[in-house]
Amino acid sequence: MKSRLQDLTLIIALFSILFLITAACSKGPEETSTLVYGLTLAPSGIDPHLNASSELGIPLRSVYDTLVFLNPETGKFVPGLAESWTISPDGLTYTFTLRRDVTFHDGTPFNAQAVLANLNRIRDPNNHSQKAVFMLGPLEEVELIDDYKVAIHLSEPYAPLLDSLSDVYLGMASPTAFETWGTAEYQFHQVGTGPYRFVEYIPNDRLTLAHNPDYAWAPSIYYQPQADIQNIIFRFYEDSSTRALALESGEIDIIGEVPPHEASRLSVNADFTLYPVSIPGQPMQFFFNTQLAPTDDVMVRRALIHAVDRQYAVTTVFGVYSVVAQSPFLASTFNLDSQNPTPDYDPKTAEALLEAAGWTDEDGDGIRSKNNIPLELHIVSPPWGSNSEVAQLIRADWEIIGARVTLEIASGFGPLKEIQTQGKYQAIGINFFGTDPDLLRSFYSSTGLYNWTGFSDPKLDQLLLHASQTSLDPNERLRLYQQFVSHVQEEALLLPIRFYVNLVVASKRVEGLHFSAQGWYPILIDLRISH
Amino acid sequence: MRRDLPTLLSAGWLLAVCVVSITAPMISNSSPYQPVAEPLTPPGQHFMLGTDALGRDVWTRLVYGARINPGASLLATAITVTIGGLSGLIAASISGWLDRTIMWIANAMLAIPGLLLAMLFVAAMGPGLPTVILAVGFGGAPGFARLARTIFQQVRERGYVTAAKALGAGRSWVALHHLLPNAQGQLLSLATTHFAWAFMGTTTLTFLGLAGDPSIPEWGAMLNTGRAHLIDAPWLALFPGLAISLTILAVQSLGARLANSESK
Repeated sequence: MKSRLQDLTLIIALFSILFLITAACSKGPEETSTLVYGLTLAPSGIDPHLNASSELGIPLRSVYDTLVFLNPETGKFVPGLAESWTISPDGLTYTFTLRRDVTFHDGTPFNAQAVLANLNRIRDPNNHSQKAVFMLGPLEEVELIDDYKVAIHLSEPYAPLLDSLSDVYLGMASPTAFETWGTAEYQFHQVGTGPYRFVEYIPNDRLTLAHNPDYAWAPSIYYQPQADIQNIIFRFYEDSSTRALALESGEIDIIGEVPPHEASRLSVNADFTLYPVSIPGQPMQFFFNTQLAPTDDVMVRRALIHAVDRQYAVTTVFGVYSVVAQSPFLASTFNLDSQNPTPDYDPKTAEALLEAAGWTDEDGDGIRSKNNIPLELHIVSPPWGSNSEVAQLIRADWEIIGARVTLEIASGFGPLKEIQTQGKYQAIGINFFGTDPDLLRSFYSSTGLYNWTGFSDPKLDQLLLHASQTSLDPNERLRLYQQFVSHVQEEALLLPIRFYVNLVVASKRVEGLHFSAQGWYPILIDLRISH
Repeated sequence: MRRDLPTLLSAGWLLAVCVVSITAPMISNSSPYQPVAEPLTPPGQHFMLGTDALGRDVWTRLVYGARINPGASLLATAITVTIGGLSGLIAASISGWLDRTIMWIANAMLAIPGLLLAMLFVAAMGPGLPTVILAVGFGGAPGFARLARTIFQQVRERGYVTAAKALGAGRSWVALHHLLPNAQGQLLSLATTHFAWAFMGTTTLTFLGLAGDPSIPEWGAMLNTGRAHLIDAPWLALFPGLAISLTILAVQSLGARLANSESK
């Protein structure tokens, strides 16, 4: 028995020595060209053509190139895999002339057939694309003109098409690869034309990229022609309270969505740099249910907007990094936030509006009622992105003006959608990101997939449809969306809180960090590690 | 019962929790839901225990929490004692196939830890305080049933029960007039120790965010939100953590004392 114990000790000692040796060996010269990037969500699927997560674009934006790129500084589209393009005067045909020098990571050439195969894969109803297929809008037919020329025909004008084609969800993948691996397996063996090659993906553990030495077709928005860092490893940190610690312990070099109080702490630390990145799209917001009393009454909805101290909520929850949102959408090219601001915090007006709408507190118990029905409000909040903290403050503000408020945090997108379908809520939180305001159509048109206000007005539907079709004049689109905003404010359909600012913190040794127009995706090719 | 210091302290703490929960609106003048000051104000003159990340008074929330956590655990314990005690009594007084079936079910359920059982229940029913209470109540029942059965069986073997049976007393008569009254003391001390488990169970589930509404001033959820501020505002986790630990400690030691005096 004793000798066995000694054996065991010896084995353990040998293993520790072996471990030390291998650990020492792995710290070779290439250590400086490996970067570890923290992701904040482990998506259920990472095939950009099929899945919808914003997180997948953080690594994959650099695995794929797109036909065009959106310049984050000018808001203009620049050539990518397409060296030029023309749009027919009726806005129904987009013709792309492709680069001839591009090869996929597997060595196969990129050409018009590849574009067709990609768009067909996205449109194949058997593949159940969650996002990309919707981004293609009224696409009718893809026509091969020659090997390097392809035309996209639409059934009706669709202004957001170029914007869609510039996003990672419509990135160009190797048809050979997705035919080899099949729909379900392809996400583990992705092949694109981008500055980084996909090496491996182990769900919930890591995703590894290696630089593509053949890359010679960088778009003008990339500062460097070739990637500097050899390997980038992505790891997952879903619990927000562990992110700052992972940075401080040196486990990772970069991570996004750092909680504001930790970001403040790290921003004054000489070892780290804080990058607050504005994300275009909808603000954090709560929609009022216009199909259920008492929020079916516009007076009540206005009162509820006046009752919320949004400035306090934003300062308390997001610190100095965010400003209060005033409108349903913001992007550098479509600033809808300056016109028609949302009514300010004014509890007196809120109470007066409730009185006028017939909600009074006659028995003096602090709860208003009308026809003996108490003023009861149920708030439903998603679990992510500090929505639940803001919802607690909204709850507190609505109680002050005499409402009985209950709050429910849905545990994920599925449960949130389920509660929404049951319709038992007065206010519900949801928001999407995107650079084109056409995403508003699915939230505010009567038949929209995310019409969670239940509001229906043919005039609004017409306005949104028209705005999506006037493709050639951005100023005309802006004017239409401004009309839309004043309409939405008039009806008091939403309580906007703040536009999203992603707090990315990076170690000081990381240089050259900047982000794509969509805000979420770092331009990995331009990253460098200082020695 | 001999008076000793741990028992006195435990009883004192529990009494304090009771008093505080009854007089909550009197000893705190703000609402547990409303922000009252700058967020993350450290404990001090105006705010004894400081304020949380949303600017709410931690003292007020703790005080109102004294109504929720012990109350929830008491309800959960009541459910456990009713279901577990009843099945234990039935199993002990009607031996044979019914006894075997009840114990077979209890043992099968015991294969899964009680807390896990409770979590499965909440996952199926959806989050919320009532679900948490039911879950912990049901989750503790199998274990309680087995212990209660043993207690009843011991009573069943005593002479006066045999005498009553010899005189022709029926099973239910014996159960209600002999088993139940004579097992009362032991059952009470068992229930007390179980209360500590139920308290731990409910706060664990609410710590995990299963109470649904994070604005409810509840100790488990407060401890969980405090976790994010361990470095910059340690009082957020410290005070609810203390309240939870002290309560469990107090109930445990009282339960042990009770069991001791019972066995003497």
